[in-house]
Amino acid sequence: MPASVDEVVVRVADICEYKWDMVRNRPWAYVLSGVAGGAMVVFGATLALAVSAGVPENLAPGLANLLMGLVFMFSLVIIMVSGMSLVTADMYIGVIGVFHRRITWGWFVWGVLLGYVGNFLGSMFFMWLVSMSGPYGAWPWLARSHAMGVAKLGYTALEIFVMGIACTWMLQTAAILYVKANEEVAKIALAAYGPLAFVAGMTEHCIANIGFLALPLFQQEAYLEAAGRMGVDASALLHWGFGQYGWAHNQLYTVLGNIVGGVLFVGVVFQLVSNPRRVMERYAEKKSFMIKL
Amino acid sequence: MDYSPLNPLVWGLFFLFILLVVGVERCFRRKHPDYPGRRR
Repeated sequence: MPASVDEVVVRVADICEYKWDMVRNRPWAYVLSGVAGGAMVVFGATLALAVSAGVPENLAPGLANLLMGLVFMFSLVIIMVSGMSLVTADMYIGVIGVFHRRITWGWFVWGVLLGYVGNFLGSMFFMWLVSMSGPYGAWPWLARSHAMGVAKLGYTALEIFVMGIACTWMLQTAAILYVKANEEVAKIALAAYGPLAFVAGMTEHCIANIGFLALPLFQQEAYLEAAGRMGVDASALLHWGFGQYGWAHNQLYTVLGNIVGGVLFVGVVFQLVSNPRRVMERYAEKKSFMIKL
Repeated sequence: MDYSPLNPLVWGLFFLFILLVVGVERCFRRKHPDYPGRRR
């Protein structure tokens, strides 16, 4: 039987205690766990690109999305099982920790910031490595990567923001259900649901997008050369800044949406659904206040 | 404004979200003053 909501918020507060203990006392270790977590997210992004290149859209418009989701789905599993940090999964943990007075709002913001920096470095570095590879420099993958970049970087601020909310609403629901489940197999299945849903659902995830949308920028010169040879129209050029087709534009509004989705629709909702009296009874029986994921 | 870093609608919604979440937490604390916690 999975744990009750009352038990879950106490478990999450204990996980918060463990994570923010690291933020307070070993911040570089926390950043490093973020580097590993960020890279694990784009392991999934790389696989997603590998299987979705060349899938004809007229076959079934959602088929490429489904394939991407199926190979992406173990990203959250390996992060959770390894105990590394993913900032978009830590947001709901931190806000429940604030309600349980394990951390202050100031520490919440600092922890999220450190987690983001670590995830950024891991995601960007891994995709920079991939950009120098042979297989991903070949045509169908170059074209798919560029097409994904044009599509995602072409959305307006509001379009990105709402899909950022949808992303972490799905992903952090899966992450909190991982904590709620008691059996190993159930934990793995629930954690796998999150990335499957957010990737197949075409949503926006800030850490996945850091590397995934950097790849076509790293490879843009090679893409233009190949497109020229093949007579393909390559009029939409990507860039790192703000504005249409800008990497920073997508990242800014994805981060804002991801914060809202995870904190408000998962963390706050689960906390308010839990019964305060029953939570207090659980605290009265508790001896340990820390759980490592 | 659709591609500006200062999109007023999105930033407005985000600040509303901050007010809402912090407000809910404060109300919760006031309603449940004995709610457990281990603030350092």
